Amino acid sequence: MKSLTSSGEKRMLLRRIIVYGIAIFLIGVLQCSFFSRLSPFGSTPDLIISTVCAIAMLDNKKAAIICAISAGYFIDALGSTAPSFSALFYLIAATVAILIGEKLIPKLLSFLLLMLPMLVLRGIGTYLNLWIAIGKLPAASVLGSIILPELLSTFTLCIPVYFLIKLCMLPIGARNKFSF
Amino acid sequence: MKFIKSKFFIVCVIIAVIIVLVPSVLAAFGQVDIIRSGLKTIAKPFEWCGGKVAGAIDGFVSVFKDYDELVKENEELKAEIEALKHQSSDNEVLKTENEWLREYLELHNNNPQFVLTDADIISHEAGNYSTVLTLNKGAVHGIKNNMPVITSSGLLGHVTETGLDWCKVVSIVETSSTVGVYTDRTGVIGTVEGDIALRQQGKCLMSYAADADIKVGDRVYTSGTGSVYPNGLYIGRIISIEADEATRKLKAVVEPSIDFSKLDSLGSVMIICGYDKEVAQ
Repeated sequence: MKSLTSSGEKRMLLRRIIVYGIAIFLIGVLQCSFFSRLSPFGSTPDLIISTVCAIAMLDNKKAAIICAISAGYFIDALGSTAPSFSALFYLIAATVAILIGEKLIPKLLSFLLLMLPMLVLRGIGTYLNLWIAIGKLPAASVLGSIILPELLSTFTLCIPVYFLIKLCMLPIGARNKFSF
Repeated sequence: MKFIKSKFFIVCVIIAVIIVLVPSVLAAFGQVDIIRSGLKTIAKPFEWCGGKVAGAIDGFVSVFKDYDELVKENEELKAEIEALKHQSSDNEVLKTENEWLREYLELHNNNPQFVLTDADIISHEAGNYSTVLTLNKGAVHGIKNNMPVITSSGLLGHVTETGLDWCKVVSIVETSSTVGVYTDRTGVIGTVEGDIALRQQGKCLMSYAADADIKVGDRVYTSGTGSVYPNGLYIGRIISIEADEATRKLKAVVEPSIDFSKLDSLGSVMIICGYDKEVAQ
């Protein structure tokens, strides 16, 4: 926690958490109300995983981890019943994104590349969720009717999320400038 | 990897585990997670807005999205209606045919001595002075002039002209027609002829001897006199008795059993082509 001792850095982190918190709040609400009703490609996209991934790649690691946990908790509060593991799931996603994102240039193409392991994680997460909730499932039909549409809609909508996070970085004065 | 081993990350993992476990444990004990509940309460109006906007967009999009489905459904329903109409039409044809065959059978059973040939009315030429029916049977079917034409209701007329596969029939209400008849009640013999005034009403006149016992309601049958009509074909009922001003004789107005004003609805008729002599004997 040495990094948190610096009051400037602490303030910056707090600022990030507030800005990203608002973004996550809006994105979470959009995901749980707007997109869950519209269901692009026949499924609700996971915008939060894109958000966490974008923060992890473009900005602060700590902010990404905190956002991942709080976003998971928030999404569970909005759209699921206990027991739910979204906080842990997004923490894992953020960690993977940080580890891979370190090696990538923070650009849109890299972000899209980074989204691929995120989608794999999302697929596994969805399958596990269904397995816990329902029990034994025919993998092929779950993949075709639930997981693939979800991944497709998530991947499609990750681009606007990427730019939204870039936009959020402006008032924070984060390291990445608003560019493609 | 260094980041994963940092205290910050370990603390975050612990917090995440707690965050996952606490609501589950509280739920297991029937308790409510206050923070979760609070977050849901705060987010509720935003969710409501998001849902409304999505609903509006969904409604707008569904107009276009459902259009193809509606068109498809419409086409399917049209096809279904057509099929049902066709089926209904087929049923109607079968019903008519069934009725016709039943009548044919009944007529044949009542008159086993007749050799009958069924024919369809293919045209109905109505003139000012006569009405001629054209049937779809002719010389190739064994049809000859003067053959009587009947329906299950009674006598229609006789064949006046025969073509290769058609023939023309003049009905009993025409002025050119004369039929020898008798009444069933008293057996009075007379003749039924077409009348220029009555033919428009589909009726004809019966002439009989002045002292004959004739009453309204008597049934009139062919007597078999002459070379056209056999004995016993039902013609109709006497509906009135009038005095003929010219001859000063009484004449009975006969209402045939066939409604000559609705000849088109007859459809099919039967031609008496001959007589089964063995049955007749």
